Amino acid sequence: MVAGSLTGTISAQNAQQEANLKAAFIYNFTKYIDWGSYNRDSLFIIGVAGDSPIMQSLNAIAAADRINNKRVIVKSINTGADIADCDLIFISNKCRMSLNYILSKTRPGVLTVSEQPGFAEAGTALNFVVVNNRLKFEANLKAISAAGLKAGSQLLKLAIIVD
Amino acid sequence: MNKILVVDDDVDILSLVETILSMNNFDVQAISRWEDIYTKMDEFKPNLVLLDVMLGGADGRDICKNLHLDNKTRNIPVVLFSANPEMGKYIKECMAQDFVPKPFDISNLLKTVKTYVN
Amino acid sequence: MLKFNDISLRNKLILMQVFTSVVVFGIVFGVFIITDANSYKQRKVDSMVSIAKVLGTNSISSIQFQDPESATQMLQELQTVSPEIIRSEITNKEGQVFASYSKAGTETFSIPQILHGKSYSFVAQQLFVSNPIKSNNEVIGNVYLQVTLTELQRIKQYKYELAFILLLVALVFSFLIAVLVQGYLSTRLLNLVNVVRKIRKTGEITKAVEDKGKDEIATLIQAFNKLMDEIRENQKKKDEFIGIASHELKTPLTSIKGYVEMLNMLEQDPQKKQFVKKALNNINKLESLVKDLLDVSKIQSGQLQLEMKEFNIDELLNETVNASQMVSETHRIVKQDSPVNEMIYGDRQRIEQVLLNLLSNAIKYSPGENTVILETEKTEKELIIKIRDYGIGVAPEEQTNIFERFYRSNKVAVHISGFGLGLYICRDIINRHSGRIWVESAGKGSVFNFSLPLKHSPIQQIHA
Repeated sequence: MVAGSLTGTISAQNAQQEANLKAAFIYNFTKYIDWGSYNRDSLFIIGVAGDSPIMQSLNAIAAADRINNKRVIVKSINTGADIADCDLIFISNKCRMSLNYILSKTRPGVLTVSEQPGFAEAGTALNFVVVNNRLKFEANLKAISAAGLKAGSQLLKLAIIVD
Repeated sequence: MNKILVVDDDVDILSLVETILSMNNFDVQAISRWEDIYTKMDEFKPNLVLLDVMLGGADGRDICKNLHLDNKTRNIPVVLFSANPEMGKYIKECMAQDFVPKPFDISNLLKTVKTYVN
Repeated sequence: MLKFNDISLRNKLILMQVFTSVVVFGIVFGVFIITDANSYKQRKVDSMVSIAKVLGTNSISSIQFQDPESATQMLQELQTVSPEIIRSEITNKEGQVFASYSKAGTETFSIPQILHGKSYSFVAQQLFVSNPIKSNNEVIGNVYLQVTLTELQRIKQYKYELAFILLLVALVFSFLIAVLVQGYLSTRLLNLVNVVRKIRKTGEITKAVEDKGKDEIATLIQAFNKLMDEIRENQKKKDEFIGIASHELKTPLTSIKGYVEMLNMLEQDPQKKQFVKKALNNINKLESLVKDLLDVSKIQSGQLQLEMKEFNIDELLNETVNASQMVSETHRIVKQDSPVNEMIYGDRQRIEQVLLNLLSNAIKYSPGENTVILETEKTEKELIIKIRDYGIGVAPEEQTNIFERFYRSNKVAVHISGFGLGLYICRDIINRHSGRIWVESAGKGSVFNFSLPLKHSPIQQIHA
């Protein structure tokens, strides 16, 4: 499931490879998030905000795997209305909408993942960062619990905790 | 003082001893039946009894003891006479004076008899 | 070389029991230790596999999120908890090492190679464990552990020592118990053995202790006692017979001797006197033979009794010399002059018998000569009496044999009469007095010697 190099170094990769790596991470995130009573539908919907190469990566994953034993649908988010039925939102760095706008439209039961510095502090649950050329992620515990979700310790121990 | 009573169930030995002793001037009486000994002692009153041990029906040692127990005869010396050399050991026990083995030397017999006949 | 059969019964029994115990205990302990070690090993494997599983589970996310540091930290923490794990490795599904930790000084070699695909292996005092990391039934990596087993060694060592000590204790106990228990078996047998030894030593027929059991030892003892009864019966019969026989033989002999002696005294005619004398000589020989037979029979059945008293040896020597001289016309018996001046403790009659026998032998075996000499020699401890003749002598090779029963020398040209019993009886009598009897002879003539212990000497024993 991990495309690219073992330790996830970013520098020598092209954008697509980076996107693939992030997609794989996202896929693995879901294994450690407990949606609780949310997410009762028969589908798992991932929304991608912004025209990002990760769309392609996520589609590849969706074709092969399930999340929470549900079929995965990946769609692009252009308006606030698209946010409504997502289970997971990826706010790419190509996203034109403002974070606050997206966050305000996000209902509980949605995992928000971003890839820009400072976004975790700003309110996303998980945020990709590059540390020493390695892909890592920040976790905002308040945001996670505000979304009504629980994150497993195995995930959190690897995260940079941000509040 | 030289009366000798000889008791032996073998008649040849009896007459032999009788002959030897009387040839040496002893007054000898000889009996072959030991039952007669007590009456003979009374009758003859010998100074010495020469008593065979194996008497066919009686043991000379017992007779010797009895003689010694009887007041009338206790002072009369008895010399035992036997082919069994072990008899010498019984002298003290039955209160005899001495013992003459058979066969005997005539000189030995006479010497012994002369010693005790007093 | 100590043969098993020569060890005493008691020791054999003890040895057997102790040996059995040691072998049994040795086997039991050995088996116990081995199974113990094996179960320890198995438990170790189980616990290490569990640890590997836990490690695996906890490193799934590290692998998924490509975070080797967190995995390495976990492995380091493992070290403090289980220091026996000297090396731990997590590999990804390609087999490359993702995270690892090893204790300083540990060699680095490929663990998978050592394992050859097995999930665990004991190699060179160490345990190697491998466990796959599975997420959603998919293998995403592997955990390898290298565990040192010095503790196992220590435990094994300790257990061996313990087992050894216990074995020694078992040995001591089994020895003690064996000593106690063997008595039950061996006592009965040894009692019998002692009785047999006593019989051999003293010649007396004794029975063994009654044994009313039913086992083989009891059977042996009962049979033995029955045998002893039979022997005693036979002896009694034999003795009775000898008593009767000697009595019966002596009775007519008495008459014959007496009448012939009288004839000897009465007969004046020289020729008749000669006849009578010859008859008398042979009667005396016959008498002597009958006496010897009786004595030998007594010696054989252990019944020869000695009456031990103190007597004057000089008197006895003089008497016997005179007596022997009286019946010898051909020889002169010379006794040395110096008196011994000692009291001898012994059976006077039997010593007299010995002297008479030796003197008559001296005369008998020197026909044509005319001197026999009797000498004495006194040492601090004993008195030696020597009787010397100048006759045919005794050949060197016969000098011990002549004291045997019925031995008659066939080396002499002259026929010497007799049963050959005299010296046998003499030897028995002298031995019973704790003395020695022997002959010295070099060609012409012989000297027969016998010794008697002197009263104050240490070799004097009460012996009957």
